[in-house]
Amino acid sequence: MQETWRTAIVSTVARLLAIVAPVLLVLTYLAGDTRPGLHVGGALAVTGAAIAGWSRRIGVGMRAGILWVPAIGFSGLVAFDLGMRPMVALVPCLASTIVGLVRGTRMGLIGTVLGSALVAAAGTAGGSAPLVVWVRHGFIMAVFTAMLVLLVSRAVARIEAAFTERRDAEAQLRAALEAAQVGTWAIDVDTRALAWDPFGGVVSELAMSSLPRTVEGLMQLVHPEDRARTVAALDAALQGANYHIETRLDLPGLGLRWLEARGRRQGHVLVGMAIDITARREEEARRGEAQETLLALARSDAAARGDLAAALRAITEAGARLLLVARCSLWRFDDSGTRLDCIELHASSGHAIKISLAADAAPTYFETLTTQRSLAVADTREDPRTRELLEVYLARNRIVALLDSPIHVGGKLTGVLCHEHVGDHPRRFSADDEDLSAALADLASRAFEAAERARAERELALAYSQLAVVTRRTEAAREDERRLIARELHDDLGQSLTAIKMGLQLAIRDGAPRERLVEAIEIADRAIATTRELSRAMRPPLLDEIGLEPALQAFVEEQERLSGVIFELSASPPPGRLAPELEIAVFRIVQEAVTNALRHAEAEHVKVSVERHDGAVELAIHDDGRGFDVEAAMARTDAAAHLGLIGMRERVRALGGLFTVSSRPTRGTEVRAEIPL
Amino acid sequence: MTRVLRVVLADDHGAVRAGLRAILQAVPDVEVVAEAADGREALAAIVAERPDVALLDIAMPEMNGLDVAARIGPASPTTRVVILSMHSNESYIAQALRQGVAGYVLKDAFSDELPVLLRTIMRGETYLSPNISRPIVASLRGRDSGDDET
Repeated sequence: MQETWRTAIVSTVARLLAIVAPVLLVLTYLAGDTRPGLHVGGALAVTGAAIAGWSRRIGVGMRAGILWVPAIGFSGLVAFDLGMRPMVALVPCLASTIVGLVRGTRMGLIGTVLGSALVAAAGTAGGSAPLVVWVRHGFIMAVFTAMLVLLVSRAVARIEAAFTERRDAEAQLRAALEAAQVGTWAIDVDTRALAWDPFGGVVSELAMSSLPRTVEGLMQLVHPEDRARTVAALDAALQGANYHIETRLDLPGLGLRWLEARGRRQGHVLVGMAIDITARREEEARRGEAQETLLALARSDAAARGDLAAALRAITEAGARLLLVARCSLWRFDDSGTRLDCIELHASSGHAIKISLAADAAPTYFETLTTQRSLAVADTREDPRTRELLEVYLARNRIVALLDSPIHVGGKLTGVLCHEHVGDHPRRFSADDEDLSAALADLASRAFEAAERARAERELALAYSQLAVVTRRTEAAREDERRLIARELHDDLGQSLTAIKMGLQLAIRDGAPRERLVEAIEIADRAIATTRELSRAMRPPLLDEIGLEPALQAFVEEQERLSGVIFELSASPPPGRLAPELEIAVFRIVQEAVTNALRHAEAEHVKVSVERHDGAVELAIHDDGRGFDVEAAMARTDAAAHLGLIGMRERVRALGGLFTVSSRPTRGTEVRAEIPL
Repeated sequence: MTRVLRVVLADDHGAVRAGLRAILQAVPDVEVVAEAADGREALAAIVAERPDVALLDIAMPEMNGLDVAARIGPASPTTRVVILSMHSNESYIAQALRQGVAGYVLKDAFSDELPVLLRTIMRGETYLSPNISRPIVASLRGRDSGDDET
């Protein structure tokens, strides 16, 4: 558009010149100036102007050039007419014109006016013609030259600008295509010849030269699975349909790539663009794989079955695979929260060692983890959040980039899932990567929860079965006790009373002789003793009558007497009596623990202490016997010997207290209980 | 009843045995020929003495009174066995009767019932203490038919 406008201006000026100049020449001639130089030069200039003004086939640059040439010639011929000397003045005039062309219109005009003035001055000084003639020549020259300079310089500037603009636009388009990696292609509808540049110049020249130049050749590169529909779409496009397809091409030097191509027929050519969508397609495939893996992990019941290790192994394996990292590690705080243990590590190479880190070694790192869903670090050597871990962990494992997500259980930071990129160059993780990492960490926390729940359920089941056994045994013991009491009552007390009765009957019959009555009293004494023993067996009598401390004292003394084991009892004198159920519980626990120590531990010394503190009674029974494996014993439900332990524990728990047994083989046993008042 | 009744007395409880003996000795024409503190001794005494009456405590060490009664058999066919018991347990009584004992007496009633007991069994009949025959009769009335044993 602009080009046409410039051409029009130049053409119009040239036409004006071609009309006005002959008139001026004729007028000059009629005025009596018959110099051949002036008129030949004028005719030449007019011819040039006419060509420049009316020619259809030449561009704006050529028009300006044509105008310039006769103008120069005209100036030269005028100078010839004027003799040799004015030529000297013409030189600066020409020079100034050139400067004007090169430097700009204004300078050219000034130079030309000055030059003309010099010509006039030189002519006058030479005296070869009258001043009027010199002034007239100088004036005409100045006007012509000025017009020429003006026109030509503008035209040239515009031409230059147009060329530059076109060149820039092409370069920009090229750069844009290359930057966007958009390739272009064209197919001749008649010959089916193909001209193309896939990916906007990304392909090397060598590869370009080996690309096919026909549609048929192109189709050979298309993946066999995609070939049929690609051929069909292209055929339809050659007939005029819009062309849009995603297809796989096996490109020389590049391998199998996914290309998206669009095109439209214009005249006899089908033209279009193509872009490489391999990355997008791979990303889609990767996302699909990620979804499948997450679903499979979410459905896994390994943790609920109690196999936490298998569940965590599956998660770290998935993390390494889906996020394309060399290492995926899973860390968990220990019970005290001061140490972070690597409990699972999936490493693609070498023998990776699971290590532990002090939790306070990296406060910035953990601060970030507690507040964010994930922490992505492209270069661990530069990032302030990982600086603390650089020395102790990252550098020795050559971890240069990482993507870590916190694992929360019950709202508490429990651990970290770490995706660790090993190498020398930084790696930037995407938002998708971060989402995936966080999702895997959530799965890990679910696995922890499931494992915890499974463990709690197992413990509960064990407790139930133990309780059932204890209950059964308690019932059995109670039955035994009743049987014993019944026998004592019937066989012993009953017999004694029968004997007394018979003795008294005989005494009545025989007139109450003294020996019969004494005999009856003796039998009654034995019956009383039996009764006392029976009642003592059923409940420690001192406990109710005097208190816990004397009852324990009496119990310990009796045990000492019977067993020969040395006892040491320390019982703080209680300020006032404890609740009856508490007193009997303390007494029975001491009784059970002491019985265990005597029966199983083969102890030589037994220490019993009962202390009353603020709000609680603390009792401890320690022996120096052979000890046992507490955990194994507590986990069993079958061994009768350990039911005493469970019975004690249940008794303490029922009163809201704490019960612990610590024992090691050969190191004795300590039973402790703390019962709130 | 001019003949003297020869009695073997067995009870593991010394005081009771002494009382029983005193009661028996007060009865004319009754002679305690042997005493035993457990079932084995009792059986040996019966076999040796072949008494007219064996008074056996039902609950004794070594061998209980019922087992002793079952084992006497042809060794002393004329001995009449009387079971002494603290219990009025129905199944014990039924078992005793099946063994063919001549009497079943509660110890605390022994002194009062002894004359009647001796007369009854020497006539060849069976004696049960009223305190135990009453519940047994009541129990049998309560049933349609069948065994004593449950």
